[in-house]
Amino acid sequence: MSEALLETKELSKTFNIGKGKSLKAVSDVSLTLNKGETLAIVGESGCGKSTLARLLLRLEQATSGGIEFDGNDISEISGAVEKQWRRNVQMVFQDPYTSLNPRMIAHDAIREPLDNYAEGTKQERNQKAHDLLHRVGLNVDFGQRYPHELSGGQCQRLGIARALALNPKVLVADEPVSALDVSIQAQVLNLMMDLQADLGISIVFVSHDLSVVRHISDRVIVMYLGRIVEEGPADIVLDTPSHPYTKALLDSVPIDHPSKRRSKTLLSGEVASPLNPPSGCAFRTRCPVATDQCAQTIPKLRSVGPKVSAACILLESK
Amino acid sequence: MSVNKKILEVKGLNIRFGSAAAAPTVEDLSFDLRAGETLCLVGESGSGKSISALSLLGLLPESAHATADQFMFDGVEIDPKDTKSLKALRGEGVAMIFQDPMSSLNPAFTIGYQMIEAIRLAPNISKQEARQKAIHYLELVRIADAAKRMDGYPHQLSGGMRQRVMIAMALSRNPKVLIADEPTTALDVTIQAQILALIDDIKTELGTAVLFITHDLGVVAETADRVAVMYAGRMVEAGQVAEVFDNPQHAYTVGLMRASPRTAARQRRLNDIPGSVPELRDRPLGCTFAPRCAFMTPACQELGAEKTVQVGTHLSRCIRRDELGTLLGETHV
Repeated sequence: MSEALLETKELSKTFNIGKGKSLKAVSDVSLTLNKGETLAIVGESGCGKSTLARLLLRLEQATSGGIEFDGNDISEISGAVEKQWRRNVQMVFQDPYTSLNPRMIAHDAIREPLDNYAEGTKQERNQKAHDLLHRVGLNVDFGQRYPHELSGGQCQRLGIARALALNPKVLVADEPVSALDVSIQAQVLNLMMDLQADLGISIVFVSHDLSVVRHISDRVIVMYLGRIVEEGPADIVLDTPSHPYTKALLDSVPIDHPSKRRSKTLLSGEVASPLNPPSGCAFRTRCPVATDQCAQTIPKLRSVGPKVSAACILLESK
Repeated sequence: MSVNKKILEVKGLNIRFGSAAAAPTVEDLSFDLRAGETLCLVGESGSGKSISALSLLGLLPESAHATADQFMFDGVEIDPKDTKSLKALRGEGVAMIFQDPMSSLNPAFTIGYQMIEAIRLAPNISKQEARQKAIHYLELVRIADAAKRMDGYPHQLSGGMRQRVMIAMALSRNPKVLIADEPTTALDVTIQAQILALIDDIKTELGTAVLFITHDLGVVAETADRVAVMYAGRMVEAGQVAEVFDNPQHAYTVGLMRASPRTAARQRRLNDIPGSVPELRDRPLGCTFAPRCAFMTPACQELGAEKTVQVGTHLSRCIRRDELGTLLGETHV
């Protein structure tokens, strides 16, 4: 089933922030999203995961590198071609309230993308909006409600219904459950897994929550200061991490039972400033096993085990 | 150090909004807090955990009415309506840190100014002494170059550093109780681990009692000595952290644990809890969790089903608590 749908090649995004300074938010990211799979992008604040998601949606224009969708180069498309392409890749946002128009009832919010692309007759569009409400588990009379009359979980279901309206092939979800309570988070995660099983869509799941990522994703990409530091199947990367950063990240995750308490080796310090990244490996300033050599060259992502790649010079190539 | 000394004892706390006759937002809350221990209040949005904490500081809005059968701080009875007495407790009695350290700090003043301002609320302390004290507490929360940081502004600090400053400020008058309301929710996971370790060290070193409010059972497992689970304004279960995790006695606690992706098999459906927390006006008779509960019986929705039963240190408001183990075995996925 591993048929590539969305592929990036050495994608980079640099923001000019005035006074001749620039910020490299994403550096040389090459990734592949296969048909029907869930690819998670994880990392801490400022690691570039949201910028990467926006690049995949073409909400940001990449500074360099290429993006291919279904084998076609889309890095330069514009106008009508871009508009038609957009129906393929839709987004689910973190904050379900602010991503909905407060003056639009749920039914109309779902119908809006269909109107936008003039899909079918008005009656068909209304029918489709009706079906989608049902599909995401919202009671049909919720269609007449405004966002403020819905709970956070219901708003997120609405956001998902809206994203699905144009039958996209890819959903890009940026922290879709991090604003929700645990019991509601489980409802929304279940919905996303059900939709994927039924519709065969691919999901890019951006998250900082490793337990959620372990649960929902097939493959995972770990980012640090704009670069991929480790990539591979979710169970392998998250159960037997290779890169020292992935290890540290997993070690910081709270335990699930008080009997597992132990003294942790905490990462010292904080993520370095992307305005002034350390030379060589960006993680070396916090890395417990860094050597002088780590400051010399930026480590390349290379295979370190079955299906797993990592960017660390201390790991043996396999 | 008297590790077991009760600092705070609250019995039958009710908080109502609007009028003294309104339905209680927080109902019949009882707990105590001992020196050198962490009590985690865990629950989802709207469970009443933050409001309960604010009532301890006399920080409830004007429209709120707090009453309690008993409200003792360090052996002294206090009326929870008496905001003056509660205000007197702030600083040396109770101090609080909040979820968002940026909005808790004033962006227009230096860290040092704000720390000294808090410290000098105590009588008879000179600016010089206060400054020394501020630096001491910044060092205590492991801020490097503390003296230099005193002249910095909040925007020059990262989220984790700001939360350290807030903790330093809260500790600067040596409170007996530290209330931490979701102090790590806005932080990255590696920084969260640092802050949790710091609060734990403070508890051990200074013997501070910590009331830790969180929605995250992982944080509870990591840091609590005792835990109280809240749902829709009521404490539904409480006990030693190990007994609650090993042998949960309320269907809501079980639901929360099973909804977490942490404990579930990969890529299987999670055991979500259907529906959502009832609005105050829609709270049902009997057990407030009953409408969402997989094990609900008609008796659960009768008045009296919400009564607290205590066995040893373990409290529960579930009438089927003794059967839960068996019920769970039958429905396991």
